[in-house]
Amino acid sequence: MRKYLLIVPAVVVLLVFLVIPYIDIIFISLHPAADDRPYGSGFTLRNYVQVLTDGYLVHQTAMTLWIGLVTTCATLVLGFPVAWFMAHSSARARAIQQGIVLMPLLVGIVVRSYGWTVILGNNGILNRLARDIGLTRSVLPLMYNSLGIVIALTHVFLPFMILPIFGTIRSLDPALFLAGRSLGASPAITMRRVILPLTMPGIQSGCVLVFILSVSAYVTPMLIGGMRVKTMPMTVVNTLIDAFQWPFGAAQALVLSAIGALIVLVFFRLTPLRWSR
Amino acid sequence: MTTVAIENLTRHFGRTRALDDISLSIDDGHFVSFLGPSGCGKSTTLRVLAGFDACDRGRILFDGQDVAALPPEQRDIGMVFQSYALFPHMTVGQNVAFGLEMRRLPRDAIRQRVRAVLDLVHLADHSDRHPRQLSGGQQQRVALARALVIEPRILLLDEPLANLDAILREEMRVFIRELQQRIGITTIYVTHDQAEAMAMSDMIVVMFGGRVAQVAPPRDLYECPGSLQVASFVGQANYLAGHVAHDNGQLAVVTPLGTRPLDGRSAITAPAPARNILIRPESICITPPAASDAVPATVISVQYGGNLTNYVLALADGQQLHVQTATPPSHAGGDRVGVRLADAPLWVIPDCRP
Repeated sequence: MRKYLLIVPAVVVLLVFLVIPYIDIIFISLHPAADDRPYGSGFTLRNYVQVLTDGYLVHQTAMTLWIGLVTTCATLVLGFPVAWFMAHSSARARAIQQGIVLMPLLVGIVVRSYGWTVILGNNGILNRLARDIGLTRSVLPLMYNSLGIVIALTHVFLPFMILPIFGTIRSLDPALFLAGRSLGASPAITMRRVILPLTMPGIQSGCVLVFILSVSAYVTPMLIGGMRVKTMPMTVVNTLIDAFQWPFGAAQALVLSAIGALIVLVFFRLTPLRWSR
Repeated sequence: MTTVAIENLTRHFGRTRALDDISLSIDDGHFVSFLGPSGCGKSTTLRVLAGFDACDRGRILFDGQDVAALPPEQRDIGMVFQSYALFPHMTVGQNVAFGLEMRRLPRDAIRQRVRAVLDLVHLADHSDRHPRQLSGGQQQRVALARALVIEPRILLLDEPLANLDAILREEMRVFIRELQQRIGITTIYVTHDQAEAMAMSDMIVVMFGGRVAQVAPPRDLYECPGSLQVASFVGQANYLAGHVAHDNGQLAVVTPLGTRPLDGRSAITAPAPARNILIRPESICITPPAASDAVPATVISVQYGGNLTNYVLALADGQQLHVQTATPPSHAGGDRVGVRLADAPLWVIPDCRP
């Protein structure tokens, strides 16, 4: 019984700063809007109906989830080889590599995202380079669209994919890969049949982290999208702060959360950890 | 089946020579152990044979075919790892079937062969278990079955018994050796445990510092070590300063503990001064102090080992002797005793002066 005392502080913090506000948001979302107060009196589901039937919002939600999905896939494809490489480096090299992987996190997200506008912008480094070497005459649309947002988010969230996968690969017996080879499997097949299933816990954590972070990202899409592409978090903030429609904004936020949670659940279902049972 | 030849194998790790011009040939169906302290190159040799490590120079021939350039999956080897390296997400049956699936055998044939090999290692009713549900010894046998089921050209074992407790280790020694002889597969076994190597092998390759120190059958290795280093690594040894002289028309070895004939396997053909004579602990007898032709000694310590008793004795000049008897302890520390050599030929360590 006494061991539960260890988690009491964390539980209290979560309760006060996460659970109670969440319940409050749910509460708000079930009330009508009011002109002179944050929300009016009386129970209503109208806010939810509005979120789910408004063509613009549905499209935005879909695009936000799509950006999250593509970013997750991109970080997975880029991150797995890095994690594998790190796990098979010498201890000293690994320390340096970990530093390099974590380095982007030391720079604030605003600065990093702004850095990407310098690179991706219409007059940015990439576009100028493309023009100078005669690759294209028109402007490459790298910014103010979802492609730019995915590129920037992939960079920002790559460490969150690499580190959990690196952790699971490190915990594997290095002889497993060799065992597969000795039994006649090529490196690719050994990877698919032996290593990939065993690193699934790391892949799952990495994917969930990156997906959730991407879907709820605000700063990066705002700077790269330049308000021309709006993801759901930006719309939610607009609704809450600019339009002062608390109940409607709360419903938007909750619908996005719910769909995100549903996708994570389905994802866990599709990637079973058979061996850990 | 398969003969293995290693020719001038050399491998550097940075500046250190992990393998220094190793050459060796292994007969078909032989069980050969690579024995040596850690870092002597025995594991590296195995990794190079398996294809996990490249060699800088040299050839590896399986039945005369150079495989040095082939990746491991094309060498047709069966390998058992020290950690067993069983796939934890697969059942025992799936683990064993893996190699056969890679060879694209029909499903029925796979099922048959998996069952047959699991029978062979007495695990037929564990096919649906996962590796972590098995004991260390059982995991070891699954690893063996997985390596054998593909009917490889050679079987490579990398310290497979190192993680087992002592009793199980002895059992597995017998089991592996018996299995190997039944199948008749050419086997290379890496170990730092000399007792293991002696018990199992047809031939032992002793390695020190990336070089082959001696290649010999277990008995020759124990009785006729080629150097002081080998003599000390394989079993316990006493060294007495002595010389080789004529005695009744034969060559004899003269030691402070007495004179005995020279071992017939020795290359020495003429009297030789000042040599190191190998005396194994079991070829020294403890006698009463006043017995004829006995040399006086003092008991320093006694170690009871059940079936054997180990003594440390000191001669008058201070030299210590390790003595092993098959009788229960009959002396205690401080006792004055006599020692004499057993009536057996003596081995002179080649090219080694005291």
